[in-house]
Amino acid sequence: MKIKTSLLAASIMLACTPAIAKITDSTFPLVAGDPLVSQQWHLQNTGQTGFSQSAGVAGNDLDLDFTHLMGIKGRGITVSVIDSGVEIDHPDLRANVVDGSINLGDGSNYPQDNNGHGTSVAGLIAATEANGLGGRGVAPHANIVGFNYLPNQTVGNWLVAHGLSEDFRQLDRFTDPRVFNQSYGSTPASPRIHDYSLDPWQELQDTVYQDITEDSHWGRGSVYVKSAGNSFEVYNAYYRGYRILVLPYENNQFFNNQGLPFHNANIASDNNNHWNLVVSALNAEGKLSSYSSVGSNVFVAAPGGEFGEAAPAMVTIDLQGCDAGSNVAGEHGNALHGGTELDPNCDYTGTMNGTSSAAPNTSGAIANLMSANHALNARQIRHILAQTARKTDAEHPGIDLTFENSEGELVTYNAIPAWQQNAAGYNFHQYYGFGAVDVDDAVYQALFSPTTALPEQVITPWQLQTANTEIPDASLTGATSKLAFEQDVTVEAVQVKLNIDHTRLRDLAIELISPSGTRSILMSARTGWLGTTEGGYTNTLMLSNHFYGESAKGEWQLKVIDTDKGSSYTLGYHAALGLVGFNRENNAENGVLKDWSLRVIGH
Amino acid sequence: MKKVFLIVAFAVTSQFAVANNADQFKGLTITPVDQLESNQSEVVVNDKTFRTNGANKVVPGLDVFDESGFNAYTVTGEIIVKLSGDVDFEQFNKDNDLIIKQAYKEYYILKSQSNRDLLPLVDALKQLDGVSSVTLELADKGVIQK
Repeated sequence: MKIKTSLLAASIMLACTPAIAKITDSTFPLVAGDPLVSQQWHLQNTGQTGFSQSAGVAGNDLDLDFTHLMGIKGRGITVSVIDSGVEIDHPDLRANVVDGSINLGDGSNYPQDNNGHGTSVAGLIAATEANGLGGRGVAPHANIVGFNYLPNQTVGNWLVAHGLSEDFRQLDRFTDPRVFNQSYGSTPASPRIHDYSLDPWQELQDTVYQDITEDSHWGRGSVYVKSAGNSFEVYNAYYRGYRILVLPYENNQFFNNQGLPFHNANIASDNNNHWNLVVSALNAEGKLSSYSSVGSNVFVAAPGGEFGEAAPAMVTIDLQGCDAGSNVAGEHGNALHGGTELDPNCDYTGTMNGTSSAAPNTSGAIANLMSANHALNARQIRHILAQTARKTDAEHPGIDLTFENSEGELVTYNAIPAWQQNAAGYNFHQYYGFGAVDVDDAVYQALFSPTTALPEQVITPWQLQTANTEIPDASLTGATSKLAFEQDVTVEAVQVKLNIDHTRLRDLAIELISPSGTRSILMSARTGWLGTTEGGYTNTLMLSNHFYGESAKGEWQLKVIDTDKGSSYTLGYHAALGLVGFNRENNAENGVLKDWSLRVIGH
Repeated sequence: MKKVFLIVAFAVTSQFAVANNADQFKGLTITPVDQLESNQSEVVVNDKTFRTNGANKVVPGLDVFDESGFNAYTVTGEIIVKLSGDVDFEQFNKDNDLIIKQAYKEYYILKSQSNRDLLPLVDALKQLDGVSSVTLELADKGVIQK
């Protein structure tokens, strides 16, 4: 009955809206019935505080009011939460839990969450709507299954959590997941080698991602959503078995990285394999969250918030009780926490954040999109998201890096470009991919714009280009190599495999320029590598979504620029080691761009 | 001292994104990495040398890190076997206390049921006809919630 009422209301709205206005640009109130929903700025940002000490800027949200008004809320779509576990009997979640959850530790069907992270993630996706409890999910009618993979990481458990069930059946039932949320990842301190012959586990992972993306659910496929990482300013890594905090250091200042991202989402193997849809995080002002990793492999951005004290984080469910999860008894900088009148049992939190939150907000958005049109396949979902993403933080100027070159002159390099429009008309920013997820525009397109099937996808063979070109130290000149690409393919994504000798990788900026002249930063200068792999980048894979829709035919250029003659370096800290300095000496010899390979995923 | 404890908490227990504070490091001296001492043991896994904090038997649960020191892993006890032909694991698994955890295309995931040294087992698997490669799984300790 509720659905019918919603559809009727939406029809009236459609009929009454002048033809020149875009219905999805109007603002409709969200239905009542959840006491915390008014503080869930990511659903509808009115400038509320989210129980923090400052307010966001109205309008910077997922834009889903029209979608919810239409009654499109994820019905019939199952989202898998691959995380610390999920408290599936949480009163604000259990109505949406379906069979399929697995405790990967003991084999039972209760995915015990001893941390709370996965439970909060699940709440962002599909907390129940209008039940008088807490807030609601982005897709409050979607189904949820959970896996406590993070405390039980083995290859067998990875396969089960990512879609290959223990009884080896195919994903073809309505209750099998069509969206896999992965709010986890790693931040490697040295480059990964992409070589299946050395790493069958990587080959197996990529094969599963591809198979389920393309072939599950009778060919409609599933979407894997992945958090970009929380390493814009610092990151954690292991050194000799110790888990250290890694931070930049320049001009005798801790955390000084010239405003540039300290780490890059393009580093981790599961972030650059194309099958994962990588999401960066936005705060309540519509700008990049202070911690969010970025890179050319980011597809879209979604709300992740800040820390929930000085500025809003996410309001979502928490482990039940005031002795578990993020919200526990006692004083706290977030006004929801500590057993307050609105939440006396501490079942909700106002401090969930991270790209861990941006990913489930995107997963929920995708569930809505799929439920609007169940016939859409995984590629069409990506296509619609790219076409409808919103240009958030539109005035972001990019970042110029000024450094002293080898001649002693100060020179300036545009290290992070402002928003660019590629030759196919897509806006792209290193921080935000195609932009902020806009659920209403995406759903509207799925419903009312005829979506023709995309031509069959092709993945071209790797094309190798030998360069053996020296990279001048601290110079804008850089090393440039050109590759002539003959296949007439429309780009969906481009992958590059690099071999570069250089002992201080944090000095290097790596750019790829398309035949149409679009310049994409594959790896930004001052990325906080601690070390090299076999003397530099060795068969290191990087991905760019920046060229979406462009023709791949023509001349591609790779440019590598050394931006530092040794003034910056990287620190690691652990109590047992103290403060340890890495990369303290400049490279004694100029680096060399040895060779690179390129392949196109497109049609 | 309190400041140091706070930094340690950052480095060891951070589950969510956290705010940073440069004051925490004031007064600490920076040691060049090449001056750190090392007294660890070596093991060879998957044809690569790894270091351990003393252990030299490769058993499930062992933590290892690579020669650069930048990558840390846990031995899970699972073995990734890639096949090039038909293999009958039944007798082999019975003799070696292994189970098949998963099978997918040409990949089999075997799991050791005991706390035995896994390297001889890997060598024995490599000798089976129809086996293309055998990889002892090393779970990346850097994979955490993001």
